[in-house]
Amino acid sequence: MKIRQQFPVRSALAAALMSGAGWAAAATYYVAPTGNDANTGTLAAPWATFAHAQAVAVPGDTVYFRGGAYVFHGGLNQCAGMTDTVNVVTLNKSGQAGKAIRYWAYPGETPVFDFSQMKDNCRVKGFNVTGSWIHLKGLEVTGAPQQPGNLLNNESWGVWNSGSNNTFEALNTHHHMGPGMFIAKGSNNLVLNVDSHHNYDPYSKSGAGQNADGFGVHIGATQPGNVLRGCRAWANTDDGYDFINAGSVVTVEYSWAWRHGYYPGTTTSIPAGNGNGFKVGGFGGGYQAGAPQHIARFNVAFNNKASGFYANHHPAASYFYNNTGVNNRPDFNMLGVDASGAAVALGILRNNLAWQGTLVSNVAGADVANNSWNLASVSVTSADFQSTSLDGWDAPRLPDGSLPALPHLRLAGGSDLLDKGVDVGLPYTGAAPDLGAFEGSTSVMLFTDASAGMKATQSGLTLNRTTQQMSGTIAFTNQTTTTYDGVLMLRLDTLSDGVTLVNRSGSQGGAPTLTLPSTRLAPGQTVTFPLVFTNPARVAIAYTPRLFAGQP
Amino acid sequence: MTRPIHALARAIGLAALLACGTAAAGPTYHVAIDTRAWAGQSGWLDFLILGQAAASGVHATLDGFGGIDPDGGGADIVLGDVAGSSATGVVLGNDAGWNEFGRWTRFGGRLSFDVTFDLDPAPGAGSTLEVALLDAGQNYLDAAGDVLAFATLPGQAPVVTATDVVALPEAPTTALWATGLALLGLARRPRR
Repeated sequence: MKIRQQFPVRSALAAALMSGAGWAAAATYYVAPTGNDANTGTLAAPWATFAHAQAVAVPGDTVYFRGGAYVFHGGLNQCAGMTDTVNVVTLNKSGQAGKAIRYWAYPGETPVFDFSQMKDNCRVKGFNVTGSWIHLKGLEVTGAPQQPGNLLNNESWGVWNSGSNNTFEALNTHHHMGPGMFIAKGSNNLVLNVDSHHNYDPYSKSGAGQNADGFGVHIGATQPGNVLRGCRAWANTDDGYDFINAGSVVTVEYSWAWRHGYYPGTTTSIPAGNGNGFKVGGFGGGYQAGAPQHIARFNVAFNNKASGFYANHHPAASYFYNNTGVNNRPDFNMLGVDASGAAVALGILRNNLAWQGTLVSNVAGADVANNSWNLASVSVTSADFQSTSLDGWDAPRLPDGSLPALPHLRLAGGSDLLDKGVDVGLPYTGAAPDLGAFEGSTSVMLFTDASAGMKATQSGLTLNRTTQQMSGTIAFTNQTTTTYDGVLMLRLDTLSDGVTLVNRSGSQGGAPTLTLPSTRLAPGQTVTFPLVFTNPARVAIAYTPRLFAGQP
Repeated sequence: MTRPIHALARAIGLAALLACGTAAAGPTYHVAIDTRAWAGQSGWLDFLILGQAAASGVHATLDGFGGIDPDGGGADIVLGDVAGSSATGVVLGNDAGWNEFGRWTRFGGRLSFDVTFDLDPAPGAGSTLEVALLDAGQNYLDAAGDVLAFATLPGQAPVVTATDVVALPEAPTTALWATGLALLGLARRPRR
């Protein structure tokens, strides 16, 4: 396969088009596991380290990290004592407004930053982000350790942030001995389409498993604008999302949480692990004047050991709109605290859906209306959903990093939960908002990736000079013993910029798709898709073909 | 109308391989195009390979041009992965997105050329060499568009499609095949 160095050209071109007099073009650099910091940082001669890339990059620049393992055996500093903290990748150079410094995975590749081999006998911050206007995208981060025998600390961290205006996008942060993603300070940070899972802190002084959240946001006062969107947390020993001690509003939306409070990958409870899906606030049980009203909307929590959505003794009424809780204990728990320190119910709940498990607790006295449990006109049954499956929520994300398209817990046509909500100023379809996290009843087909068992044959392209369209085919030969009978969908991931698939039948996660509605593909048989492109820039067309089989 | 000539192309490929005795070189095609239908017009005898990032390497060597009448009305087209010259042979590859070589000529007679493929057998996407007659505005002269196309896939002989104005192959090649086959047969006679 030929790899062409098209990105520097594109960046330079884009910069040239956008530039005014005196504005230097943004640069693009490359880092690879096999690189060398004495190199020039090009695709052909990449650097080796994050530190060197940061030293060279300036606001507006992009650094691409090639796929492969970046294994760390030590940090930037030594443990001064057993309670000290070692930083491994520190990002302290800031970009500027509109000119973030981008540290991105090379398209189609996965760079893995592995801290599991470190033996430093104190706390570890894998990524220590103290700068602002920084954009991390597509990186896998794993293994920030604690050391056996050192029970003096509560956690290490996969990604730790104290900067502002940063974007953490499409990260996969997992198997840390502490939180996967931790916002300690800062304003206007966006955590977008990040997965945090299988985090477990076995050597914490407060108890094994007590501190490994998927996402922790614990910012101070006057640090607004922090948003988590499109994220997934699962199999973390403590909570999925924990906003305890957050002194400013945190928004979490379109995010999922399941299986918290258990040893990762099991259903065995870990005693010290809290096990909430979304822990929205709180200050350790005490009252705090001026506490923020957090926002949780369009989220899903299921199969958590404790609450799906939990106010955690928060002193103010947070907003819970259009969330779905299934089989938690309970699904919604609005335990708050008043100025006297007494337990009260606090929360503003609209359009939420609770099903199975214990539906609610501590809601009497809270501001609760138009939710599934307090509407006499509705009852929740399995027939309300296109699918009731609680499996497969960790399916691969779509090409643009967005959540996978699943039918699970989406409302079915004819459900009495449709249009039973109340307008809270958020988008909806139909006469009124629906109950739960997913608006509408449009049927969503569950697709499985069948690419691995297929031999793909891409033809050459031919030009039609009259239309200036380029045509070819891609054929898949079934090399498995499985017969696929039904919908087959071709998706072209990472299609070259500026190239359009003219005959696409749809799109998924920003990638064009072609669907064959009723196709039988037996072992040894071949299915062929015609491809028609427009390619005004006449680039060498690149894409990753993926074949998906729809499940009826 | 185009016609597929797969079997013929395979025969050509096999014969060419035997005749020259090199496994690396691909088949050679001797092509003639009747342009009497466009007598009085000028334009390009055009060769185009559209590149794909995942394509295996392909090089088409074009030489032995005959019947070209460069009347001075236009210049040759050289775009992308093109090396060599008309005199020594033009090598057209697939390394760029758009790889094109066009010879300006006056139409009306019989245009001829030879094309030999060097195909990388490594797995990858295929490539297609398109041959077209274009007018001065780079529009097709033949209603079918391309008059000839060689569709290649790694490790396989090209699949050839052509319109009725194309003659392929020419007679002398057949004699060469026969000679090659005969020589190969003698070489494989068991020794006692």
